[in-house]
Amino acid sequence: MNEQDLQRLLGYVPDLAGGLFYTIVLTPIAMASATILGVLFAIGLNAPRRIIRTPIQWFIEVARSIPELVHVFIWYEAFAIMGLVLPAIAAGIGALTVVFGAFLGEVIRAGVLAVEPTQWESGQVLGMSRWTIWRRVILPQALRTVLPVWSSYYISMYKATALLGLITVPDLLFRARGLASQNFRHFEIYTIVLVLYFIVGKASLAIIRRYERRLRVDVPKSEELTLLRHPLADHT
Amino acid sequence: MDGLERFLDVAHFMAPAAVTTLLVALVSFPGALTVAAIVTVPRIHRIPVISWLADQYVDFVRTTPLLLHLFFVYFALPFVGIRVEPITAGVLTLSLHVGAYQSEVLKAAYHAVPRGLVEAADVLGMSRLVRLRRVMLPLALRVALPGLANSMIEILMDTVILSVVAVVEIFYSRTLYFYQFFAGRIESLILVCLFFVIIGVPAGRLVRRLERRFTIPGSGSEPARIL
Repeated sequence: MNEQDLQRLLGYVPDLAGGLFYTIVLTPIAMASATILGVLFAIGLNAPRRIIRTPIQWFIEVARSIPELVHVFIWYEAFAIMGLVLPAIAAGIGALTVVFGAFLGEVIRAGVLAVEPTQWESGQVLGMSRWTIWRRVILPQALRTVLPVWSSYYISMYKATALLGLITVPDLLFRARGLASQNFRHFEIYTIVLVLYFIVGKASLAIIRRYERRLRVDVPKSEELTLLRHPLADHT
Repeated sequence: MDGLERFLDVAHFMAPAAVTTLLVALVSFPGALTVAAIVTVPRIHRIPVISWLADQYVDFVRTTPLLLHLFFVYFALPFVGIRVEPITAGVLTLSLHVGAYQSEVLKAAYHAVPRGLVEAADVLGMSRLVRLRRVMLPLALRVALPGLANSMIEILMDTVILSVVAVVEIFYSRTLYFYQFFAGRIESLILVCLFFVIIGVPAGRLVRRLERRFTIPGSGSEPARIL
C-alpha cells in the first residue's frame, strides 16, 4: 500500500463514519418503537373481547407476510401519493416499527402466556388496577422471558436498517453506494463496509448477550412459548 | 383509464414478474439447502479451522444485511473477474444468505437427537446407514421441518431485494409499469401486497401447524429431555 492508497482510504473516513452513525443510531430507535408497538399488540391480543383481538391478529398476520422492503415503500411512496409526505428517515422508522412490532407482538404475547396465572390473581388481591398489573407484574416478567428472542430480532432490525439506504436515508449502505459511484472502486468500498457491518453487528450481539445473562430469569417453558419462538433464532 | 380498468391492466403487466418471483424462490431453496448442508457438517463435527470458519460464516451472514451481500456479488465481484447476470447474482446471494440460517435449523435438529438413542442404535448393532435412516433422520427431520418450511417463506419474501439489481421480479415490475405509463403506483403496490399476503398468510399458518404437530411431546425447547 503506497501513499496514494492511504490518502484515498482516509478520504472514505468522513462518509463512512457518518453512515456508521446513522446505522448505529437507527437500530435502537426503531427497535424501541417496535417494542412499544409489540407490547401494545400483546396487550390487545390478550384482551377479553374478540372485537379487539381479531383485528390485531389479522393485522399482524398480514404485516408479517409482506416483505420489509415493500413496507418501506408503502410508508415512503404510497403515503406520499395519498398526501402524507414523510421525511425518508421517519417513513423508514415507521415501516420497520410496523414489521417488527407485528413480530414482537406475537413473541411478547407468548411471554405473557408464560407468566403464571396466579400472578394476575395476586395483583387483584393487592387491589391493583388492570393497568398496574400489566405494568408492574406481567410485563416485566414477560419481557424478560422473551429476551433471547428479542435479541435475535434486534440483530434482524440492525440488518433491516440497510433497506433505508434505498430511500435516501444516508446510512452506511447509502454512503457506500455514493462512494463507489464516484471512483468505481466497488470491491474495495463494499469490502470495507461489509467488515464494518460485521464488526458492529458482532459487538452489538456481544453487548446484548451480556445484558441478557444479567436479566435472565428461569421461567417454566410453556408449550406456547416454544411454539412461537423465532423460527430462525439461534439455538446456542 | 379508471379504477378497476387500471387495476386489471397493472395486474396483467405484473403477472409474468410474479412468476419470476416464484421461480427465483423455488430455485434458491435447494441452493440454500446445499449451502446449509455444506456449512452444517463442520459445525457438528468439530474439525479444526474448518469448523471455526463455518461458525464465522454463519455469524457473518447473521450480522450483515442481505442487500449489501447482493451489492457485493453484483457490483464488487466483477472487479475481481467474477461477472454474473443479475438473476444469477440474486439466486446466489439468496442461497448463501438463507443457507446460513438453515444451517442453524439443521444444527438444532441434529442436536435434538438424544445421544442415548444413537448409542442404543449402536448397541443394537445397526450400521451407520440404518442408524441414520431409522433413528436419527426421523427425529431430526421432525425438528427441522417447520424451520425449513419457514425459510422457504423467508426466501420468497427476500426476493423483492433483487429489484435493486433490476431483476424483473414482482417489485421491479411495478417500477417498470410506472416508467412506461406514469401511472398505477398505488395499484401496483396494492397488488404486490396482495401477492405476498395471499401466499404468505396461509403458508405462515401451515408452518405453525407443522410446528404444533411435529413438536416432540414433552421435549420443550430442550430436546434432550425426550427420554
